[in-house]
Amino acid sequence: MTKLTTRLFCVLMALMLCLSCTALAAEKQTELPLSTKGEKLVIYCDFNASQSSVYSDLSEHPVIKQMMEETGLTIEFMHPPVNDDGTFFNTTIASGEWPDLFYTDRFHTTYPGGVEGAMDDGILVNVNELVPQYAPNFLQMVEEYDEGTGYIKNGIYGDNGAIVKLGSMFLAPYVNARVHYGPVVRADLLEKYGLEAPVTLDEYTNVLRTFKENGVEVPLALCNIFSQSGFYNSNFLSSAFGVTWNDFQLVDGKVVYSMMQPGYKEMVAFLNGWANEGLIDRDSVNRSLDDCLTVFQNGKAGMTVYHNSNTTTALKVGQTIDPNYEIVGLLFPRKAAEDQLTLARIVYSLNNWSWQISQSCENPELAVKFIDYLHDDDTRLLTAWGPGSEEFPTFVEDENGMRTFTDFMYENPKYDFTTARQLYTLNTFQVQYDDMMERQQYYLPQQLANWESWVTRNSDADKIPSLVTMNVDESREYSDIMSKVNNYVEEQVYAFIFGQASMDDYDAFVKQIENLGIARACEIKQAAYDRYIARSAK
Amino acid sequence: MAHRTLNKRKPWYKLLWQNILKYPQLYLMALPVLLWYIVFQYGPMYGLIIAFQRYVPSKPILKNQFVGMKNFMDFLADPYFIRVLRNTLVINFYLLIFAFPAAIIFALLLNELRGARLKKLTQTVTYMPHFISAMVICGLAVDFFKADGMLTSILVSALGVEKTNLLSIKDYFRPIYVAMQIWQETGWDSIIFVAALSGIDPTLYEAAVMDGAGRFKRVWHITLPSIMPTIIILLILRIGNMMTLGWEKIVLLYNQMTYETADVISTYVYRRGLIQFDYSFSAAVGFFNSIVNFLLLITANTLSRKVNETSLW
Repeated sequence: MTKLTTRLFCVLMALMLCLSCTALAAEKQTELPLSTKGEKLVIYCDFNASQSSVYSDLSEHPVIKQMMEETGLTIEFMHPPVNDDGTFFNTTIASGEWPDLFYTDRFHTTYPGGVEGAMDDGILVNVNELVPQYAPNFLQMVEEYDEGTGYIKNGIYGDNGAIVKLGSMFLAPYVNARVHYGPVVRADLLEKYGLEAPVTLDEYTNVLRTFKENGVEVPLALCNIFSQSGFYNSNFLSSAFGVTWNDFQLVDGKVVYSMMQPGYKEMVAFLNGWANEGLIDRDSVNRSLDDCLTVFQNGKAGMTVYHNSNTTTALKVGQTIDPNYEIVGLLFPRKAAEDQLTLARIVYSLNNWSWQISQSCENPELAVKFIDYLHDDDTRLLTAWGPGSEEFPTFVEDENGMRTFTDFMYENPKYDFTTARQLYTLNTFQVQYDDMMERQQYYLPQQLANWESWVTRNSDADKIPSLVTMNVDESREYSDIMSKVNNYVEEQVYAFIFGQASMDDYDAFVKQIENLGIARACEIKQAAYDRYIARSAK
Repeated sequence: MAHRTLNKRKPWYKLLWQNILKYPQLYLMALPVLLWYIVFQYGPMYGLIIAFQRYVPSKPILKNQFVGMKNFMDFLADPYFIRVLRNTLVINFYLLIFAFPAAIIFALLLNELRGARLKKLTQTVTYMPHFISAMVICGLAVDFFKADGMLTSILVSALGVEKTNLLSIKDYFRPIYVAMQIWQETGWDSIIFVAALSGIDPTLYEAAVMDGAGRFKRVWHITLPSIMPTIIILLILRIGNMMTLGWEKIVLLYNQMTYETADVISTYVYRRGLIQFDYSFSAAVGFFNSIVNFLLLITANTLSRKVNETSLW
């Protein structure tokens, strides 16, 4: 059996390698050096704890040293303190003494009006005119990933048409457009109790009930619904009822708030049933996803939701405790087996991080060139795998061009692997994950099967893209309303599920959300969404 | 009488100047402390302006939009205002009646210990918890109070409570919080009382023994009255903090199922502030709290001065 799976897996690997080879796009190259005058760029970016324990700032990092050599630039740094809550960023902005370049997510996440707001306030430079001339690699990458869908371009360009994400994070093709969080169950337990892998809600109930009756301590390890983004964004369980856990969504193309939908009431009633039967873990309100993983891998729990990268550890730990331990990925639950779900979290390229050029930068052309240089294939490999030089032999490459980390990384006498990666490779400056590396992370047949199950009849058609932007006034009004709403609903939903509030009061609950001004919040979200959709049409 | 007429003729700054000339070293020594207050305590107070503004961090403080009392009204009109105010006061009141006397009783017990080494050891051991970070303590508590946690199991067998996650039951939050606070801080809080106890004149005890007073009588008639001023002053200061309750531990312990009894002013502001980076709102709440605290402090002090002649000023 194992031989067969190994063989199957090898064939699969080979197939995918071929596919990826054909899909490989034209090479990206940059003319070096970028400057012969030794110009200086000051860069604002994060500096994590393991780096700061060894380097005084990133300019001592071997990858940066090599970059300076290649580009002929002098790079200096401005680092916020580790775990900055935004205070350092805000005071930097307020001080008016800005670096040349920012690499941060704060303009997108917290600055009023987003990147375009900061451009209007005279903090950031609009790079639209510089990009076509100085950032060919970047533009090529945008075209490659967008493939005419508009998904990438809608994120790259803001509502007013400015490029707001120069050098954002692109996923490697291998992990792009996948569902990364999903439900998994102990395959050996299913077999032991003669159960099929569940698909419908009734089947899920049956499996959990059987687990409970047979003494599985935690039938379903569930984390706190509202605090664990990996969980609530995947809409496990809630998507069966056509709603999100606590978000806006689309219904027939219109923006609505999930809790106002009849489906939400149905779901809460359903979960109340599970809670009464003891199928929901009483500790769930105090659990993080990490906690769930712990009880799942040490054999206490029968089912949980996790990130696919956890499969390796879960199997390793589980099998040392119980040699029969086996994991299988489940389809997201739904009412009828053939139902199509529309609220999955499919992870595409582009996140909230990107490079921004400030108004203090004296040579924006050079700054754009530098960002484009990060998109160069060689630079991308340098940031992902480290220098691989004699002094820092981070990786080896075989005759087929396959790279693997060396013992310098895995068995470094001074640092563990995670720390070594922070010290000798540089993901801060990585604009694209490396395909080769991702393939080495997701290779188990169980992992590939998880991906397969999680995406089955599961799409994100009714999800609102995370990159919609509100303007300054809208975001004020919106967050005023939503902070009150969130405060109210999270508590109430828990009360309904665990029976502290009666389902008869549900309509009053909906009424109260209305009173808090949800209609206005929907309007704002709708307007932002409409602008977002119109972006690619521009 | 003569002094008074002298005072009337000379204004205070002249008197001060004379005094400075007379005791220059004393004033020189006080100078750093004075500067510290001016620079770090009074100086930043101008920042309170943001409580009356719609503050955006990217603009200089004075250039922000002025909104008057809006932030204060927002807080007072908030649907959860009464709840968070009640929780803050109730939890602080519990701490006052359970945790505050615990430290005094503990100091008295320590005082009765005979062996000096045993006393030192007990003291050191009881200070320890104070130095453990809130993260660690609360992480332990969350684990111990899970359905299969250690403390839950003990409480199930000892008191017959339901075997479930105790931190998800709203009625248990306050007792758990107060008990944790007592466990962590009693040793530390007792230091000042231990110090006060060591200042009592031993001849008083000797005289009491001669008069045939037992241990309990000695504590009641000598020890307690001697440290009473310390107790009163700490009590007044404590009352002056009734509106303040740190958010760190509560945020780590509470959850959506216990907001009803656990959500206090600081945690509520933390949740609101975290979502919308509303510095003005938090500044307004902080300002409001300080005013109430200040009023409480003055009241407590005045009452105390009238009743038993011990007071801060």
